[in-house]
Amino acid sequence: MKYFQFSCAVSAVSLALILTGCGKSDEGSDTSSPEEDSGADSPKTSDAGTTTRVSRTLVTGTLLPTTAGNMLIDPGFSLVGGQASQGQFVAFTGSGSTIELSTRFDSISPVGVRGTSLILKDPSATDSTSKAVTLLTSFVGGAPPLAARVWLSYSNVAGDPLPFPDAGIAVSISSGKLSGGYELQKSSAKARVIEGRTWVSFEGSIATEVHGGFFLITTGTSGGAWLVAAPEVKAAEGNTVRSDRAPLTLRPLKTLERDAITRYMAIPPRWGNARPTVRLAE
Amino acid sequence: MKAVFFSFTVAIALALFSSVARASTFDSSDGQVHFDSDTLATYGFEEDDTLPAGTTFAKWSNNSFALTKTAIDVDSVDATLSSDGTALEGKRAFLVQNSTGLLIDDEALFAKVKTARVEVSLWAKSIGTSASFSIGYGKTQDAIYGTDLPFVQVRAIRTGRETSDGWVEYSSGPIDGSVWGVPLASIMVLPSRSSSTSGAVWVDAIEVKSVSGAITEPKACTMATVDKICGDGDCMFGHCVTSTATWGALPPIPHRRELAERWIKIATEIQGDRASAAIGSTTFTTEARELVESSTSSRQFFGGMNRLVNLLRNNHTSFGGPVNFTEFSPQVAFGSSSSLRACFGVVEKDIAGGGQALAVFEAGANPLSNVPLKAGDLLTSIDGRDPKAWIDDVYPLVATTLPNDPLSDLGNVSVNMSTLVSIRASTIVVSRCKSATQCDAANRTDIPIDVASRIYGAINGTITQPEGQRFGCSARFTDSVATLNAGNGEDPVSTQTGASGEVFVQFDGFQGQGAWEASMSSIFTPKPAKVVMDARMGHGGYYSAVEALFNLLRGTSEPFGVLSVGRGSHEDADPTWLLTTSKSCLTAQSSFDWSCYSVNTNGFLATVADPPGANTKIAWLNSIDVSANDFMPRLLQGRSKFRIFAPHPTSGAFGAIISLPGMSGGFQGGSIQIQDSRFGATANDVMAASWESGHGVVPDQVVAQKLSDTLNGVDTILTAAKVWVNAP
Repeated sequence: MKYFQFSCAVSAVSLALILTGCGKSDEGSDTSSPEEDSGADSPKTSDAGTTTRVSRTLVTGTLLPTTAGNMLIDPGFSLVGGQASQGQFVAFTGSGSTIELSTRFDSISPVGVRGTSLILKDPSATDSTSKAVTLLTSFVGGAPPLAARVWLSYSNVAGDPLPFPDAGIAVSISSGKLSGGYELQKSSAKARVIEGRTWVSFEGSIATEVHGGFFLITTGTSGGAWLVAAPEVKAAEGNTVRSDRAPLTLRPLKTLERDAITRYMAIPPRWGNARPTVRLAE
Repeated sequence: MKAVFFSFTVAIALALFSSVARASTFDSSDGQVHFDSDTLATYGFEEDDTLPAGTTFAKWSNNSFALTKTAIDVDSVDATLSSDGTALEGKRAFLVQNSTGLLIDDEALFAKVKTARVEVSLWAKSIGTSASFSIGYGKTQDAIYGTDLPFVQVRAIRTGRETSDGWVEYSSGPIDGSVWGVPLASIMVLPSRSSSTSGAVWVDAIEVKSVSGAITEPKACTMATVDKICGDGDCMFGHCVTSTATWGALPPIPHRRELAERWIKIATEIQGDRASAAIGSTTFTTEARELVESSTSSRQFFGGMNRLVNLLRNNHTSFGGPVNFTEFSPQVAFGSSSSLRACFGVVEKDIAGGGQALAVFEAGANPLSNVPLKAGDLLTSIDGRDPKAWIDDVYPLVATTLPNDPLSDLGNVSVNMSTLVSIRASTIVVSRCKSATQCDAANRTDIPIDVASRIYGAINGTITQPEGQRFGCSARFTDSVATLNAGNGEDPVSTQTGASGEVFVQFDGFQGQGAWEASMSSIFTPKPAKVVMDARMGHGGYYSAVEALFNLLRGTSEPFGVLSVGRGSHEDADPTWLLTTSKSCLTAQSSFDWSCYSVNTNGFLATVADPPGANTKIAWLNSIDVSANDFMPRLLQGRSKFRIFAPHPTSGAFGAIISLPGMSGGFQGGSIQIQDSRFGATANDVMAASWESGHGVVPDQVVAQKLSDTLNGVDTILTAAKVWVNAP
């Protein structure tokens, strides 16, 4: 059977998203924990335990989007779109409207095929203006030290990747017992460019106990859309805070965060029988 | 040292034998995958390749389980191929895009391997959307989502091999070339049903390899003999079947380890039911880790994990299960009259020696089992064993969840019994009484039923399915009202006034808000003297609905209330500050109260001075009741003029339920309880009470359907309730 050449240019005409696949791919999915520094230039380890110089190497893929010890229920966003309940990611605009969320599935992203990336966007956004949106989920919390991280990427409203902006998004962990929040820090040193898309890790260590926690991401009003991947809060490895990283400091909750938490807690508890969810893994 | 190394190597080899294995070889020198030399077939989409004649494009139809198939030709297939350098094997790869995939029907290959074992693997790379990869079995291509559904469908799962640029290997693991004589019919490369229309998935290096070992023959088996007779296979419909047909492919050990560790985290540090979490931190943790290492089949691993999660004993907690639309769906998810065309319920053997057992509540004509049953037929043996002993062994393996309170097990399984027996037993014996007054050993007739051979024949097409429909099963021997309302999206509430002026209210649960609450309000606002509340199929519902009904029926003159509290932390469910912080949540909260948010707490005490139903005499009927249907009778028990009639306690799941994501390829997610609860008349009483989950609400009057009444067509529980509610 004879096939004609299906060029990258042809694919781009019919499918803009594939355009990203035409660039050089130099990174696989990130499976490191929030503790690990796995910078963009780190080669992956081959099956034989050695590294190779060719651009494509064999790597070992894990099952889950993040580590088994993640305190967040749904780091792969597979419950998004289902009946809202505690532990599920939900997003609100500043005015209180619930936003319908969607996800995308990419082999090469910080989460890879272990989960999906969530598209966080004000439905009425343009490339330059938007309403602020707060995405959040609840978690029980635990004893310190805790490590938290999430990967973020920025796009225009059509989904095309854009350079990561200096401002316009904040990630925080709230602690109910302390009535405040810890703001995760952007780690530019770990920025990854994966097939034309820049992913930036927001992370930090928390040295005080967190109870009744919320993981919150609040966007700005500058338009565009965000991709969110592999959020995680977990007990720090070895129960120690990394020596090279100062623990995050508590700050008062912002109004948008407080409002979103209030709305989240208004989700009615379900006292129903155990019914399997219909969403599939992968 | 050498001996240790040798053992380790052997262990790995054995472990890989049945789980998904690594197929084609990745060449690190050129970054390409090369087909192995001993393959049975390869599909690399290269210029000189040919695809089998029966191969078609396929697209999911809207709103149905059917594929629209289109014959391929040179031009159309060329347009689906990419040669932009992305390919992993050779120069070209197939693109699943525009919601269209590929069905490879390699008739010659499938005929060749019909009695052999093979493994199908492929590599894929997703950009923005997802696809699924399965192997379908069927006698014709119509079975592949044409006019019929696949006889068996095995989903390929990840092997753990990936490339740094996003290619991911999937494999079916070792599969049989035919299942019960039905051959492979298609290698299915399809867009996921929920996938977006944009984006694409590259697919390359599809390979079919031979695997050593014999296929699973459909030998006669029981659940007690499955390991011995079927080996790594499963036992369904009384015959061995490959476990890949039931539970799917066995994941590689590292993935099994991750899944088990995630469940250990959930069961020990997220589970809100304190009794269940205690089980999680002990036997569950130990046995889940053992299961990872010892499993050589998906039946052992996934079935074993399903059993362990069920034995956490929380009716809100479920493992989830494989999405399997074939006859070989391994779990009992929805009870029906099934092949016996009969439904069972809990009976008191008043004329047959006493004690509780299962007996037929309702039966229809023309069962597939060929033995019509009658109401009152006692289930006396399953596969030669006492039914309760058989249920205790088998049901945890295949149930989607179990009650907290083992005392409610028999009722819980009763509505699923016909389905359970049909899929997991070979033979049963029912005993038929001579009359409604004579049913001792000398006055019963044992009727053996060969369930498995008839169903096996029907599945294989050698026996024709008889006319007639299956029907749903209920714990109610009869309804309490003559005409049942429709629900309109909420649990229906049906009412009828009896001859003595009593009001009968039949409802299943609390899945309702405005309309449901209005219905209950309309019943009690007129302050009826006597009400029979028939909640014998209580599947739970909303907290708000429970509070609304409570406030209609119990006021401050007989105070009572509940506090539902999440865990204090992942490490410590009950730190000393937890209840102190939670106490204020029993009263009305301000709009932003961290003390309640931080411990995921809600609760209430009676606040209404004179509720309209406070003086109503209420007979409350329970049977299979969980969650909100645990809470409500617990909140009303002890109130004057209130009595619970039931054959056994409720389930005992006192807390909110949340969904869990699916965690393994092709599996839907389960669920978990995130709170536990305590009850009391005052805030201080609540603080001093024990956690409630783990045991259900014990009936005030233990009453089960009598066998004699069953034979006479009389509803024993309803009769007892009517007698009490109408008594002076």
